[in-house]
Amino acid sequence: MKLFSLATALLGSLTAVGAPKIGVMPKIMGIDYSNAMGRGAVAAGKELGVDLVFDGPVTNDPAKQAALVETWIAQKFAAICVAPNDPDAIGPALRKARARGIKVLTYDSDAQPRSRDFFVNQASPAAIGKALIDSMVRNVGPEARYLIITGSLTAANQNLWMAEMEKYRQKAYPKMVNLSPTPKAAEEDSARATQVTIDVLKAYPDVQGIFAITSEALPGAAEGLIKAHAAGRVFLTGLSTPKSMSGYVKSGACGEVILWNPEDLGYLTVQAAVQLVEGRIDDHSKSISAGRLGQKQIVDQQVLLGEPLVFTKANIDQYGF
Amino acid sequence: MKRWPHVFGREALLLLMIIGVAAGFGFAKPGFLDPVNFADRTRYWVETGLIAVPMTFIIASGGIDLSVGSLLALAGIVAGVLHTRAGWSLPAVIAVALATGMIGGLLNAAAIQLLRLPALVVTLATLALYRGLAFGITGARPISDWPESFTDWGSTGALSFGVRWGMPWSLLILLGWTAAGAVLFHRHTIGRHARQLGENAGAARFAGISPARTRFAIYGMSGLACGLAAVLWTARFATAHPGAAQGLELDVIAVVVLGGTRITGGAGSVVGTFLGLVLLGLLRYGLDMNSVPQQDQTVVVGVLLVLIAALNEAWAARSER
Repeated sequence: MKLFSLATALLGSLTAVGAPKIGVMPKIMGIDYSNAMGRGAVAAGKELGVDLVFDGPVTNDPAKQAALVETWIAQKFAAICVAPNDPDAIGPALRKARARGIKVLTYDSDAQPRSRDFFVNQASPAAIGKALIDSMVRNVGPEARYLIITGSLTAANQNLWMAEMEKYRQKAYPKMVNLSPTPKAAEEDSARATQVTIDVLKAYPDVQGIFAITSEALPGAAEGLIKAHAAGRVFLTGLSTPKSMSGYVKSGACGEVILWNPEDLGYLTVQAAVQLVEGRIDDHSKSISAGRLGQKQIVDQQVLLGEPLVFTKANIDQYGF
Repeated sequence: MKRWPHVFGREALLLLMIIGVAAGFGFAKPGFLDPVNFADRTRYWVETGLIAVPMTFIIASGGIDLSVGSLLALAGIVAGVLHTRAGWSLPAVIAVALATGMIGGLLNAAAIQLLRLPALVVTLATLALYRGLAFGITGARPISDWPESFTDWGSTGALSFGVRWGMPWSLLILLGWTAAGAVLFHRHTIGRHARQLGENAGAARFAGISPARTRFAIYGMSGLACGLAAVLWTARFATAHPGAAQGLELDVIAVVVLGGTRITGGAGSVVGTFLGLVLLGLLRYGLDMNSVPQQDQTVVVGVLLVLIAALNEAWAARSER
């Protein structure tokens, strides 16, 4: 009897070939933001009964991402979802995947549109740019002198948001001054962000506000302000997870935090990937029924999660990510 | 009458390990031995392999070259800038990439020889210098404007045998380069001089070996390899990225050490280096195919390196008795 159940279990695992393999790759493993997206992705994978692999490089290296994509191609994945560190470097690998019939999605940050089927976007870049600028104006005023700390200078999402910030600023608050049109790069490393912030405070003594627009840069920048005794004097806002910023917001080192729900983003990505594989959505779809998230819009081959959220002292503890 | 040196006992062990790894992974995952997947995967070994050949000479001579990753990036960027901003033709900028690499290598040799500084110090400095130049020239932006024929050749170009799979051109280049390097190292005076320099620099000089000429030759070779690797890297990723190949020097050195070349100098083997490359490449490929997370892979590779390096040193100590 035992042998029989063992044999069927073994046979079952061999024939689990049936469940499609879906790969989800963040920019870098091991940071809170990626882990949150991973949780959402894994949850969706379980719900939809697919074999979900969440893996990525341990440094924000575009070449390593491309190598892993090629491995997934070799393993005959049904769909590959990537948050690229560099939209161009990942192109050839993604196009190879599409040529082999694998569905390709980007999420969080885009690649070249011809390299992927859909881009799962957390919020429209215009909305993110507006939310950031509005946050600075709300707290410092419409003539604020500010600086931006970003992740890597090649990341498409951050570059797009900064472009939108500039567009909106020119239209709505032309008196705001960007003290350094070339943003400072923290490379997804909060320790580097701390150092960059300290350097920035020395180089630009008249800075009134700092944007730190990646999940690792913002806590790093808060630390930098504290170390340089500028917390509370220089206004800090940006994009990061409420959990990692909760202490800083409550102590006043960081004024406001803007984000969307990364778990939902991961969840939506896998929903879109699986539905694309199963043919439930295609290139002409205008909306997707995304499980627990309900109806989401698809515009221009982009699946939109929604509007950004603003976290302040009042609500920052209400979220589990 | 020159004989092939006795060092080939170690190569036999490496070959056995390669067969073992290939068989083991091939058994666990049939897709591992699929020629199309395998051919694709070997593309990722080429740059490391190209640079590892002259690195064998350099380490055997008692030196080291930490600047190879940065030089690769710089060569790619210089070529890219001339191609996209000055309109130079593709063959011309390929020549420029090779020349840039070689000049970078010769500069290393000059600093080591003429300033009488240790190779570690010099190449640590040029690691930073070349990388800084690469970033400075383009303001940290990558260059992605390459002809499609070039990037197609880089990402999928192969010598087809009329069957489903083909041997990638870059792999053929690597094999040719390695064969030439093996002959130079094991049969030619330059290889002997490099090893003698590493064994005992003073005695080598008394034996009439010119350290200057040897160093210029081997570091120049290393630079040339970086330039060639830059061309292949850029073709494969369709991008010349100033941040490309960060950490490549560590992969290259790991492969050389795996191959049996002593880090303290005096003995070495290009054949061993190539086998080390294949072993490390197969190991990473197999772990990837079995979805072992990247973080765990670094542990596996690290342990392997320590074991093999210890074995190498023990072996060398025994044969010296």
